[in-house]
Amino acid sequence: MGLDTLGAEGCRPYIEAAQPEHPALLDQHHVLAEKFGVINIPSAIWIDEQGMIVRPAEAAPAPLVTTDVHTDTQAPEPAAEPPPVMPERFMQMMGEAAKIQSDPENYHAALRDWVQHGAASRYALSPEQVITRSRPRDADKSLGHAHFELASALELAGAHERAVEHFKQAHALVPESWTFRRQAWSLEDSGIEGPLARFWQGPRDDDPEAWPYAGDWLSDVQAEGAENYSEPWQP
Amino acid sequence: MLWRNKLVDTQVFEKETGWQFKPEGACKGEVCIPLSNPPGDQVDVVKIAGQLGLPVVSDETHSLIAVGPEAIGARALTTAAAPHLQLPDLSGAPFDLASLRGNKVVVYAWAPY
Repeated sequence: MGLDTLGAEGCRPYIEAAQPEHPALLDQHHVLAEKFGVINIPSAIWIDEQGMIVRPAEAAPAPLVTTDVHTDTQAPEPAAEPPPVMPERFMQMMGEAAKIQSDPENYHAALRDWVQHGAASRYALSPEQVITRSRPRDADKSLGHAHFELASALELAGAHERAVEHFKQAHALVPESWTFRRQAWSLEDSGIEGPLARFWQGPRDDDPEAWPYAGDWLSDVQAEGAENYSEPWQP
Repeated sequence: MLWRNKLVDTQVFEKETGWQFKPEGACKGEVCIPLSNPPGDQVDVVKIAGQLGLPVVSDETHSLIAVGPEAIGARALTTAAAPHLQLPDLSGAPFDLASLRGNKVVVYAWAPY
């Protein structure tokens, strides 16, 4: 499920490039955050044959790819002409991203174990564990979700400045949500072109004062520590 | 949850929010909140949100009403039963998560940013 206010416009190139055999859905207003407690991507939720959640939303690193997948498929928007010099901001972001910790081997071994053994898998949690492990939620966070959804809908309605005000409220009320922040940041004009434009997520080099948010991807990751970006996976 | 109009078909409200109106009140999971005035065929989402303790943020200019999720239980999930979830695919066709019952499902959240 692609979490993006821009919906098909934002997700289509990636879905068409991946050619998935599974349903690929669009979650424009992040109902996965409201209903399941998703705060970052990539995350996953496991649901058994009876419709019971057996693992709540948790960081779900992509599997290590050792073979070429879809080598016959052209990326829809290849960075055919990369800028001659990578902007300094991207260099710093890549440096931070390299420090983000994940454990794809153990995560995917657990997933395969559950697929094979079902409820007998040690990774299938009880209903009580599922609830307890889901994200904390209080009245402030609940209000933050309402602000976020309103912001997303206002953005689509063309009311960008009003959207920004509600995104800010959502960020303040649900500070642990990276998706709330990244979504809002990605909707700002980065001043660069191409498929990387939405990953800039910070002040423009040529007009830094125009940035409306308190934080940005690079500053926030540096402040919080890239090693804390993704919560460690717990069996 | 987003609403365009504050008057909503009661069955739609129940399906979308997971709250069920029963003789003992509005119920979700193990929790029931007594209602002095149970809704009929339609529910006023602003009014019922107030009764259920759900936050409401609205923008009248754009006819948008956002109702936040409940915080009962202090967790995002109040039950392990998967909530109703229907989202569109690229063509706009709605897909209901419940249509996958009988299969193990991994709901994978990603984003193009």
